[in-house]
Amino acid sequence: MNEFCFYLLTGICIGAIYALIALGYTLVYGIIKLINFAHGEFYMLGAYAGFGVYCMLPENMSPWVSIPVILLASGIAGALIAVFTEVIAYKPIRKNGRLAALLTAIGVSFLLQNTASFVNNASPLQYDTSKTGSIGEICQHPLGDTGIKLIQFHFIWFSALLTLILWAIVKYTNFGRAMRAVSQDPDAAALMGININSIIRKTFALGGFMAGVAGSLIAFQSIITPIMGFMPGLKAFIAAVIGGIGSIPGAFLGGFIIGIIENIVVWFGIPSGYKDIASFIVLILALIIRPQGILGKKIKEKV
Amino acid sequence: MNKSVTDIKKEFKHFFAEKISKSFGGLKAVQNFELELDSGEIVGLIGPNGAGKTTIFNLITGMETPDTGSIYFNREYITNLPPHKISHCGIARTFQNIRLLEHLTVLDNIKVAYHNHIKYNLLHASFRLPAFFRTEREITEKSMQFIELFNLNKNAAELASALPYGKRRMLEIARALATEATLILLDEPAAGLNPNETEELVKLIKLIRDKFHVTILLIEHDMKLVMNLCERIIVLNFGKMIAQGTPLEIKNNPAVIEAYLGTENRKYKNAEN
Amino acid sequence: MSWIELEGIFSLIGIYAILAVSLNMICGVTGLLQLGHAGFFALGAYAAGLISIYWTIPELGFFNLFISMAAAMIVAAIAAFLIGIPCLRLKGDYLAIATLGFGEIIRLSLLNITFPGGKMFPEEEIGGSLGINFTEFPEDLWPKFPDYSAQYASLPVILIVLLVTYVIMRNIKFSSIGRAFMCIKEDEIAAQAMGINISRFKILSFMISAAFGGLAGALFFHKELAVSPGSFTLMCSIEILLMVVLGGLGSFTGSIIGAVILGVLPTVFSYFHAGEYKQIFYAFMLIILIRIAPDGILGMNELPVFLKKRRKTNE
Repeated sequence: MNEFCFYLLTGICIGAIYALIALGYTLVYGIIKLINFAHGEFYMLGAYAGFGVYCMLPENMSPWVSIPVILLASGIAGALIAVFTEVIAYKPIRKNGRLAALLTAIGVSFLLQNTASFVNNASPLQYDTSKTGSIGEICQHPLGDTGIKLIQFHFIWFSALLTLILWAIVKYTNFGRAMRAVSQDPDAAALMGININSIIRKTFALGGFMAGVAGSLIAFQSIITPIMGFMPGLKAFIAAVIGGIGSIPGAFLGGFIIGIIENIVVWFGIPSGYKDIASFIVLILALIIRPQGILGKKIKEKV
Repeated sequence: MNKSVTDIKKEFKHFFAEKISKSFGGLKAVQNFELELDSGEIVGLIGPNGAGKTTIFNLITGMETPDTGSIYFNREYITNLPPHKISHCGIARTFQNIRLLEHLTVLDNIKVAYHNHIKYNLLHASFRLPAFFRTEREITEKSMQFIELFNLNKNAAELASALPYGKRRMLEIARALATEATLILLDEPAAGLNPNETEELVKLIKLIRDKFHVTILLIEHDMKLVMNLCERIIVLNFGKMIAQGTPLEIKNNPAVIEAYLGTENRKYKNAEN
Repeated sequence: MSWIELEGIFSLIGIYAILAVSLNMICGVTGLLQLGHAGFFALGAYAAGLISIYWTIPELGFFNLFISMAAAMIVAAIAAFLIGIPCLRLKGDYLAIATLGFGEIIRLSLLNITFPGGKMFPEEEIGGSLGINFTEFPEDLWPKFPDYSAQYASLPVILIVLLVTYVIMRNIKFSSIGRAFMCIKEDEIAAQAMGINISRFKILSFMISAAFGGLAGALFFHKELAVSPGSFTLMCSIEILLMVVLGGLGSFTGSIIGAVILGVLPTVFSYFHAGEYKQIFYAFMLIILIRIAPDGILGMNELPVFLKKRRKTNE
């Protein structure tokens, strides 16, 4: 398997994860114009919650059962924390302006990171890879001789599936219609009888769910640390921006673009220490060339 | 040797806009609009809502660029200049929904207007060299003159956010004037003013024109003010000029009446039949 | 607590105060949220460090500090110019993220780049994750460079630089340039209508802010004699922002007060042996502060107010 394909495939697999996280960013930004800095932490806490559930499951449970259970638990944990954050931290300052929202989000992010560092004294957690047939072990199985793990490949269709479900919810359900209404004009939506607060909470929950699930997916074949959400969170935000913030297909697309670019950059020979910089450079280029993103719409200020 | 009428206009008129058009997507906001202003005129721009009046202001002040046409001011071609350069040329404006600097004092609001005339730079400011003090004193004196003129003495040290509505309008106009512009665009200056305040405004604008020798173009919906104040009126509808003339001519112009009252007249006539 | 420890703490507070005051110019006065200030801090520190290695003149002794400071300010200002051109046309949240990105780019680059050691560290490379470190200076080189064991940036020096920075920033704020900055913060469209070239002034504000951030970096290097990328993280940028917000966005006096309060906190925490809780406390503080006192301690006002009034009656 040649090197280029390896990096490309790795990029697509991690891009699927970025896409899941980016969806949460784009949903929340679309509805209340807030960059939820803490979103990466929902991903991280989802991973911790999943691990916690894993520890409580019986040892001989088949992975076909335990994996979905853990994923569901992570998603629910992510959703709950997201709603909790919204109600406690974001809702009270909704009227205070953008700076207040941004600073609060930063505060929440660090708060969640530091809370998580009390678990296991911030030492990394890992799904046990020693026992054959356990989750940790089978998730290390390689995909042929491509160099990536089999489970990484599964990220792709799983992420696509969740995105499709989300897109269908937004487009075809009443809830989705209400979400779109609130994101266009909250006051008008309220006058139509939509309970804004409820819709916002549910939107956070959806985004948090996706992020939490993504967290456990990564955790299955990697390690869990309190700071694992920081970089992926930033990159997913970049993905949401370049795809078009507020657009679900945009976030999905953006995730893959970021994943591929940052890995192709390594293939080009740039030392992997600089890998993270690539995403930032892409962001800045995107903001200069096309700030509304690939699939986003331009908004003009009325004089 | 033979100059066209347009060339003459470019040279002698204080302001001349030649066939400017602007579309937003499919919507033709302004179509082939022409406007000429002589120095010291007070001209009104009226028309129903959505006729394109504020768009024309935005085109003149550089907030939008016209798709076609050219704009000349004091013989200079200003069509594609950015807003701050247009301000340097000597055109100032007020805004429909007043844009004051809320967290600054009234005095500071006016001082900002002198931005184009500051004779010191960062170095002088940082180290408080004499040029700084000299210029600041000058600015304060000039600003205080405007504050007196616009009756804002008692409010000079207050924050702009604390002003009552009528005074906020006054402050915006004062600020536009303080830029030492020679063409001032007023966007609905009488909006929200009661009849007394409107009368005061008419007197004030005439005073400003006489004292400072400025040309004034204003958008207004208050017909009484327009008829009392403007020497010439231009009527706009659907982005096109439909009539131009003295207040008396405009009052009796059938096209204008149709544009403003058309449907109601027709309804009335139909009801009668 | 010994005097040396106290001096160390106060020196650090002084440096933080310079950082906060400089950040206030772009965030508080001009209203542009900037999350990459640690980047300029880093550039200044590294510029000072590298100048000290390559271009120091031993005969000048203490006055090498001025060379360092000048170099730091210039490097930071140029960086701000280059960063500002693409970023400053962005609005609100996007600007914040873009500056955050640049702050990280600077940190990550410094983490990976190494520099030749020059005459001080012959045949060695410096930089990378270990940064520039004079404290592990090989002893046999000391006779050639007698002054490099000296920390030029003592507490009096830092306080004087802080005072000068504070005065200059205040002077700018109460001038037409400061008014232009504040106008940009209040209403960009009105600013343009009054002839203010917003792009130019945004970059100007950014460069001033960055230059003094770099200055703080130079002082930091000459105090610690060792800098590494680990000191210039996003958390650092956010701590400085917190100081500015605490004191009041727009108030330079407030920024100093904020720096003092947040500067003594780590000491207070370690006194109560609660060091691990420091970051959680900061996070809490950020969240609660925004809710109950969004204008900070002084709002946009400066102290002493009476000085300002006296100036007004003079005019």
